[in-house]
Amino acid sequence: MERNRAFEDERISAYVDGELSEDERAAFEAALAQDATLRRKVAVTQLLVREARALQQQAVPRNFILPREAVKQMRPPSSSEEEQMPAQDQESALRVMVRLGAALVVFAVVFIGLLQVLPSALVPRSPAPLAVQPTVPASPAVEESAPRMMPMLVAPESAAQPEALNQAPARPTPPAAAPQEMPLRSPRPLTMVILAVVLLLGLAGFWVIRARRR
Amino acid sequence: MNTEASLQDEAALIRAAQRGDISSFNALVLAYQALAYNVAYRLLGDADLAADATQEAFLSAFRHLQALRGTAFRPWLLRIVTRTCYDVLRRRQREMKRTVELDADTDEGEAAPRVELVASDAATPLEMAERNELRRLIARAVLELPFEQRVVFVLADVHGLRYEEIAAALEMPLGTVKSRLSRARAHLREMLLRHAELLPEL
Repeated sequence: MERNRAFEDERISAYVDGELSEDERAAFEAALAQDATLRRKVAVTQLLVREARALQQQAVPRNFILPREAVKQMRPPSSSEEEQMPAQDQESALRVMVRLGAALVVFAVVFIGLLQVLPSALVPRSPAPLAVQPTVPASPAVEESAPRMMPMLVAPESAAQPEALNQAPARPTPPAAAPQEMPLRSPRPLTMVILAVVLLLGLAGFWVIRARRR
Repeated sequence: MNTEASLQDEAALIRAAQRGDISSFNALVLAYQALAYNVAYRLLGDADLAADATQEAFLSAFRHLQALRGTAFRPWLLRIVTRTCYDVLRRRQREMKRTVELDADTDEGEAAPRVELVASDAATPLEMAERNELRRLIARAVLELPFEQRVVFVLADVHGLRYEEIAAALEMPLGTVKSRLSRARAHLREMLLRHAELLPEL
């Protein structure tokens, strides 16, 4: 029912605008001849279009020219791509950029945090830690587990002499192997580059947003 | 429109305006301000709001002028005008919601748009009065249409734009323009049929 009505409305509209093909027009006029209600609808639509056209002109209350002073600081943008977006889209794009910037910063913070707490096994490091040995006599339990752990942490020559280790389990570390301070771990260059890129992207995002708001 | 610059002049003006020449842009403003203002007026139904929207639209047009490439100026400008009017209406609705002022008197006077008194040939004073009442009724009913139908009706029937130009201005398919126009006309026709006393013998 609703669809039929919409179809009839479209045909009336097209007939009034002269948009029907020859065949369609002939069929429509045949229907018009039979249907007084349809005739009245067409007549009122024609009247409506005629009177709507007569509404057209309103005197312009003032000139809308842009004063030179007002546009001095408002040059036409040089980049067309951004400006092709309507105002609503620009606003939503701004929102997306703000979120993206925030996400980048959060990501950077989390990334840095992870680097601080990552277990040493996951981060390849310089051989320096290999020299770190227990400074107190190991308890038997620790000692038992030591052989299993050692192959991973101990230098190859130590692994090649398991007997020596077993023979002197409780012997304190000789002065030569005195505890050394763990050197400051220097982040890998790739990590530094990633961090720098992430931070720069975040900063660039905020800078763009501020510039556009101005 | 008789004040519109010729297409060739218009292209030159647009190029100069894109380089930042405000005089060239203002020549375009003078050529199109009547159309822009009238469209805004019919969409908003208020002279002050329409003037503000028109000014805002021209400012926006100047700001986004670099985006105008390979598109005719008129539909491009009308797109900006209609979007600006939409924004104005939304802002106004938000403000009205906020203030929640219900004024019982407004439905009589304020919302009724001005209708110019047009001298009609061979019309008696009574016929002229009825004709003006009819136009007032139409103008008011246009403002009650859903915005997307109102825009199409105003551009097509009030300003006589071709379907293709409306489709370009509103960035929608031709079929959508036609169906929205037919729905708008159907709504207005029903409204007119409820005021049969104003209709001439048909």
